[in-house]
Amino acid sequence: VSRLIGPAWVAVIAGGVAAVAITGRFATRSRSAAATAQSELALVAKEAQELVTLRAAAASPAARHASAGLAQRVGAALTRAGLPASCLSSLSPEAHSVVAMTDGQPRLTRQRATLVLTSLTLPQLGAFLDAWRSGEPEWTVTGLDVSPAAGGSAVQSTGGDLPLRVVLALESVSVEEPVPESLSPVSSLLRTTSRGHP
Amino acid sequence: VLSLELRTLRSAALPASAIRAGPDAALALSSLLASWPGRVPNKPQSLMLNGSGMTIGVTVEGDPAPFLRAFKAPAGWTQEEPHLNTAGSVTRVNLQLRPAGATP
Repeated sequence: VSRLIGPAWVAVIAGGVAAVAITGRFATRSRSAAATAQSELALVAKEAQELVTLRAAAASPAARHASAGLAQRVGAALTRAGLPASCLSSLSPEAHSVVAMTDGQPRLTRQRATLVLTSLTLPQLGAFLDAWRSGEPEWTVTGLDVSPAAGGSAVQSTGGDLPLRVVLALESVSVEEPVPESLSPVSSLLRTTSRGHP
Repeated sequence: VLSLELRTLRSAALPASAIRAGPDAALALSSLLASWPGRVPNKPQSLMLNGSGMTIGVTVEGDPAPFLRAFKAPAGWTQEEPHLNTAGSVTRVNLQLRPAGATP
């Protein structure tokens, strides 16, 4: 029996080493496969996030045509700011300037307008800018020219009650042709994913 | 399929991100008013803000030095040397401010 113990231990050790070698090889392969899968998962997750962002940008209010009804928009902002319509001295929209695009891309247009408000105080100007900024996010006030209104009282030569004449330069950039829904083959997949991961 | 739609959306999004409206002048006005030296006597005469900077015209009775000491450019703006024109006891101060980092 004692003669068999040595070879038996050798056989056990050899078997153990072989088992460790085999499982180690599988473990190495599995680790490599897991790393690859993790990197692919990270890439797909990143692309999915980018896709959601791009789709949201394509459907955002800024991407829609913003120039229609500018006079009504200004009137509504004056009303929200509590200013009388008589404050509106002039509104001069300029023609759309089309930004050249290559085929297959949406056509971007830029529109500018000049708005002149008169006989309003500095706090009223702030109220109008606040109303405009919150109500018309697609239009940016890119220029302001503030000066005392002509014919103002000589006594009110300074202070918050001084009537002002304000010239505002407005500008918007809009997309004529948003990306159509038909170009979104994974939209159903995204909807399913977003339901699963709120 | 994901890559296809991404390519389509990227091609559509690149021009929109490249072309933007100018900087918001309302924010610049807000920062200017917040830093305005209201405790020093002065009479603002004109104020122009656009993408290239601000131009401010102010008249001051007597010595303009207290106003110039009190006026500080808002954060993110740099002030150029003021222009002074005196007629009698009134001095007109013209201030030019530019966005920090912008070249005159």
